[in-house]
This record gives sequence, structure tokens and C-alpha cells, in this order.
Amino acid sequence: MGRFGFVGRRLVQMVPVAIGITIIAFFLIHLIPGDPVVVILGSHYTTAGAAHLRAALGLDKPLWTQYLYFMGNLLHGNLGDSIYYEQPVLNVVLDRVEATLWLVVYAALLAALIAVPLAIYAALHRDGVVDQIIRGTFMVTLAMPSFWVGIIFILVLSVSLHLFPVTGFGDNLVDHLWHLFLPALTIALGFTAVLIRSLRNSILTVLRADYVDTARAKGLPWRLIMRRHVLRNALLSTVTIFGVNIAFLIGSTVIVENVFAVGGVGQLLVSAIQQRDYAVVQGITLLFALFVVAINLLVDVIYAVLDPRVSYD
Amino acid sequence: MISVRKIRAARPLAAALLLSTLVLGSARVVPAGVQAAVSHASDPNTLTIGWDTETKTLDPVNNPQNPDIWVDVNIYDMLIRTGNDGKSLTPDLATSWNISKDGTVYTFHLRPGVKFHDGTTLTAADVKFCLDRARDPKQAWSWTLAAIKKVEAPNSSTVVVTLTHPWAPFLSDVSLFDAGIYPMAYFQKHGASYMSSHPIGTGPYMFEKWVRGQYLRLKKNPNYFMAGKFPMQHVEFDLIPDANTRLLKVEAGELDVDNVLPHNQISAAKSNPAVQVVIDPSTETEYLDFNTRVKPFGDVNVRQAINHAIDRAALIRAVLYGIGTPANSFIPKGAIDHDPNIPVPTYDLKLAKQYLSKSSVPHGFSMTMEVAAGNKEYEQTAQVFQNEMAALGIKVTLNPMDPTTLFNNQNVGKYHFTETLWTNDIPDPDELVAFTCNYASGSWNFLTWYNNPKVTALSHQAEQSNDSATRQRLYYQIQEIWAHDVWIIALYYVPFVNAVSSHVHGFHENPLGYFNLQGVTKS
Repeated sequence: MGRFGFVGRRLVQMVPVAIGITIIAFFLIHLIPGDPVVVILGSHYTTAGAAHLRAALGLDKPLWTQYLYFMGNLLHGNLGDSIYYEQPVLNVVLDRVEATLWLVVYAALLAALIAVPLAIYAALHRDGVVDQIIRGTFMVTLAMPSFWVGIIFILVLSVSLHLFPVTGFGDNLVDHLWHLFLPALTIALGFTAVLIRSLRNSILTVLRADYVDTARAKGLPWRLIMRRHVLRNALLSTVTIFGVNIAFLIGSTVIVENVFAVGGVGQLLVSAIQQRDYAVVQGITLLFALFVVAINLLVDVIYAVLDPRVSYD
Repeated sequence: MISVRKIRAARPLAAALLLSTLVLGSARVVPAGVQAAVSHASDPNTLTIGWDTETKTLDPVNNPQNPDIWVDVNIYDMLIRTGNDGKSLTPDLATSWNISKDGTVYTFHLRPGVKFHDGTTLTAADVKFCLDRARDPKQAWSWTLAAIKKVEAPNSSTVVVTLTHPWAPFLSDVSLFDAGIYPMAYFQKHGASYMSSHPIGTGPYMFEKWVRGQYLRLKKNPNYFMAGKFPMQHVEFDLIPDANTRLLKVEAGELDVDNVLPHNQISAAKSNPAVQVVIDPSTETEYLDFNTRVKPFGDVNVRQAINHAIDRAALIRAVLYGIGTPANSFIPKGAIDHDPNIPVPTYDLKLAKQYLSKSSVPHGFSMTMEVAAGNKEYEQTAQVFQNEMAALGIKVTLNPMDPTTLFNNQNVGKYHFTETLWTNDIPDPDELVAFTCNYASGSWNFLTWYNNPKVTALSHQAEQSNDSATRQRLYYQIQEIWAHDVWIIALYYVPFVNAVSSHVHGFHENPLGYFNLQGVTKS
């Protein structure tokens, strides 16, 4: 069947996961204490509006029928309407998704850029002073809460040194890179600790392998050994960890976007929760979860690309 | 196992460092002109104002919240505008007006030569259209224009409004943001939904750009009849939810005004030379609301006992960090017809105990207080209140509730005792007095279900009299009755506090919350 049969199997396995997510997201509305219609409408409550909403949500029908309505709407791209913004949830989210995507990708790239060289260095100089410093520092950054790290960055790098803008997303490519550097770094610092640990351990394990001895015995230059044999094998487990931690990355955007006023979906989620805009909360939860599932699928594909042994799975 | 040699692992590290330095370095090497364009706030021609809630709609007729209202009053004009003292009424789109002898017909003469932001000329037909739309009972603020029977435009520069009965607050009502004027043709062509994000008005600033979730930008209207009085070329409203970040942005010189400065940050802001703290009087008042149908709150002696057992000065110190004034009346100090002669209820435990001994529960009682969860100030106030009542033998059980649920419950009378806030939407005292004194649907005497026909009659009388001296007399009478019966407790008045960059001069917030952008300059 080969490597890509592996991917095909993974794709099929993702379908029940996605359906499970929609079931959970559907139940979010029903976890609200009291009459969901009264709570959803809040101070906008009118008898006519309530009747309309009740009909739209199908609340007088049996639960499984409501779920079918929900899925039907979902497949047409209808995530419901935001009470606060008085627009479809999908529109409200799409207006803000660009900033969050930029932030997530930027943070992931920064984490990789920082983690890979440092992990290699730490592995190759195991137990040396630099190795201890690297591991120690990133243990600390993992423990520090992201909103605190963000504020410290703002205080030092934006307010005192004027190196970066305090908030925002910017208007063009260079602007985006400049504005998002601090928020991306804040998210990356927590993430990097896990990556460094994992990659460092993998490299150490791989360095002990027979094929590395063989390669050295053959007289291959170190650079080639590292690139072709060591790194490629070591990266396998790290890539999987990377995928699993994407959820952490996305969760971090919620806090970090608020601190840095990035104007993305994370910031929207917080304000929707504060305003009891349940349709938006439900929609974003669903979208985030599906995004994580998609990323994990991508990670599996990369895994298949990196590791030819996967076809024996 | 092979021994590890020192490897040129430094290479990937060096490459990464070099790349990041290049990217970041390029940002600093960018010439000043480009940088200025890139960061709007340091631009001396743009005033940036930051707050924590996003603007929803720029359709004046259904603005539900301040971040919509305070943007709209810069884009749209009304027939009449409130002055910067929050009380006086000044000509805006109407240069003059006549009121008929019986007080039911108002004739407005429009300012000639006013153009909308899209270049079309303002006519009376536009005014009629906008007022008719605003007073449609479907619209959220139509109750302010409920007294209107009909609106006519006999010629292009005159608007005649006929009321169903004399209604003293009418001129104030017409100065409200929901009576903002936009072109009838524009609305008919594009509809409400389009207009809510592409507004056209006649005001000093016009719509420029809106990036959802980030900022809303206005640019100066060069044809505004008082354009010379508005030095700022652009005004930008930034959404910055985190309070710390907002203040830091002002300190960094990137934001000009932090409009939502929490009181606990005032001293930090004051001690920073880059920031000035601007404190302006407001109409914001905090109250404690009794549900008088719950025993023993129907007993005036109980209410007065509680009233005098509250140390307002201590509350202001603890909750407002000293920035506030104890309230002597339910009408805010900055408002018209506030009676300055009523004393602030004294903090006097002896007097409180005397009242309690005369009441139906002389040995104290147990009560429940609902608290809006997540609101730090309310939670603090509730705890202080609980302690203070213990001295009287009143056992208070605090019940934290979801704010939306609490608000809904309060509106239908399903609560015991809770804190509430009020700010005026119009300068006329009628809005608050009607809410406090009319025992009818929607107000129920400030949701206390306290029924006093005399005070309700006085309130209606004042609504119908067009003589300001008479109205003042009536409103003073109402406040006297309130001071005696205290069906709601007035705690304190809270001023508006803005953290303003030291580069900005002349920025103030008027008591209704609108920003006066006239004469605001940046150095």
C-alpha cells in the first residue's frame, strides 16, 4: 500500500473525530443554564425575536433533529448569527481570521527557528554549560504565563526601547512581520521548550544508532551525517509533538491576542464569551477544533514524507 | 558509542540569528516617513483613542452602546447639539427654532449650504426622513421621540414637528445621536445594513476606513461649517481589550487617549511624565437598588438605616481609589436641576440604629444581595457593604450572578438588592426622573416597585411644563421626597477618567460621554 495509503487511512480516521467535534460543539449551547433563548438574547429579548430564535435553533424539536439542523447548516457554511454583531458568525470570524493565521504560522516558524539550532547544539554538547543554560532557560519560559511574558516584552521592547509597536496587526507584509513579532515570540517561547527537549532527546538517541556509526566509519562528513541521517530521524517524534501542540498554539492566541490587541479570532472569542454571544463561541470552538484536526492530519502526512518505514504500519 | 566532536552546529544557529537580525533590523532601518505611515499613532495629525469594546454599527438609529454612539456623534449632526458642558443646547443643523404658544409645534430653520460627506445638499426632506425612521417604534431609541405626532418639510429649509402634547424634554431628545441626519437618497439606495458600515453624515469627521477587530478611522470633513475649529485631520478609534496594554501604549507614545482607564491604574499613569490624567465630570452614578416588595425593604426606616450605615467616603477610597464624589441626590451632580442643597447622607451608625429601632425589624434581619459576577468594583462594594451592615445586626448573604441573568431578573423584579449604574443619554433630567418616579412598565420607579403617586404626578407635571423655573421647582420637590423616602440609595458620582498622552492638548470628555474634538491639538 505504501506511504500514502497510510495517509488515506489517517484521513478516514479523522472523519469520526470531526463528527465527534461537531456533536460536542452542538451541545455547548445546551449546557447553558436556563432557557438558552432567554440567555442568548439577553437584553435584546423581545417576544417576536425569541420565537424566531427558538424556531431557528429548532429548540422545540427532539435533540437528534436539532443536531441534524445544526449539521445541515454547518455543511452550508451557516454557523448561525451573532447576537452582538447582528451578522452571520462565519462573516464575523472571516473578518478576523487573517490576523490569527499569521500569528499562528509566525509563532510556529519562530518556535522551529529557535528550537532546531538550539536543540542540535544542546545535543552535541550534552551536559555542557550551554546545554544546561538552554534547557534551564526554556524550562522557565515554559512555566511563565504568556500574558505576563507579553506585558514584559511590551514594557521593555516597545515602551522603553521603542523597537516594536505595542499592539496591532499592521497594514502590509513588512508591517505584519513587525507588529506580530512580539506576540509570536511570546507564544513561541512556551512552545519552544517542549520542542527543544524532544528534539534534543531524539538526536541523542539517534546518535547512538548503528547507522550513524556506519556513516562515520564510511568517512561521510559530519554535516552530511547530521542532515541526512541524524536530523531526519530525530525530527520524526518532534514533528508529531509539534502537531499535538498546535492546540496549545491556538489556545495561546486567545490570551496573547488580547494582550497585544492583534484583532484576530482569539480576541473575538474572549469578547464573545464576555458578551454571552453563544453562536460565536460555538462557531469559533468548532473552527478551532477542526483546524487542529486538519493540522494533525498534515503532520501525519509530513511524517509519511519523512519516514519511509511508515508503510509498514 | 561514538564520541561527539564539536560540530559546526553553530552554522544553523548563526543562520537563524542572521536572518532574524536582518528582518528586525530592516524594520529599524526603514526611513522615518515610512515608519510614520506604518504607525498611525505617532502621526501628529491623527488623534488615536483606545477603548476595550468594539464598535458594532454606525447607523445612528440603533446604536446600543457607547463605542457606537461616541463615534457617530462625530460623523452625524443633529438639529440641535448639546454644548460641551453637557447641559446647554446649541444650534447645529438648525440655526434657530420657534415653539408655538401651546408648546406642541416646533419650527426649525435649517442652516443653509450644508453638504453631506458625499457632496449632496442637506434638505428638510432628509431631516423628515431621518426623524420618521428614528421614531418608528421598531427602533431601539424611538421612545425618546415618542411625543412626536408628525414631521413635515414645507420647504427645503424648514422642518415642522408637531407633538401630541407639550413635552419639555423635546429639544434634548432631538439632540440625541439617534436623531442624526443622513441623506434619504443614500439610505434608500443602499439600505440600513450597508449604511451601518459606510456612514454618510454632515459632521466634522467622515468615515475613512474600518478594519474589524482593530480600528475605525475617520478623516476630517473639509466642508464642515466649523471646520476651522477641528485641528485634527484624522481620528482613529482603536480596539485594545487589555487594560495594561492600553496604558502602556499611551506611555509608549503610540496611543493618544486611553478612554477606559481603570481607577487602580490612575496613580501609575499620573507618575509617568508621558501621560496626563484628565478627569472630567460625568453623569455616571452608582446606586443600590431595593426591591421594595421584598420584606423588610418596603419599610422606609429600614432603607434609611441602611442609607446611613454606608461609609461613602471609605467606598470611594477603596473602590475608586479616591476619584469620585459622594452622592447627595439621585440626579447626578453634573446634570440640569440637580439640587445642591440636599446633604449627602451622613455615615452615622447611631442614627442608623435609631432608624432601625423605629422599623419593623428593630433587632436586625437577614437579607440577600445579588452581585454581578466578574465586576471587580461591584464585588468589592458588596463586601464592604456586607461588613458595614453587620454593625447594624443585618446579616447580608452575597449572591454572585451572571450579569446578563441578573440584568434580566432585575427588569422583571426577581431580585432582592443589588448595585446599578446610570448615565444620562440626554441632557434633560426627564429621562432619569421618569425612570425613577414613574410607576409604570419599563421603569417601576427605578425597578424598585416603590409606588408614590405624588412623586409620579410631579414627574409628569415637569414633563409637560415648558418653563424652566417651574421645572426646576418640581424637580427639587421630587429630590426632597426622594431624600426622605430613599427608595434607591445613591452611592457616588464617578467622573470620566482618561489617560491622555502628554503630546495632546485640550482633550476632554463632556458629561454625556462625548469627546469634544474641537480645539484638540497635538504637539
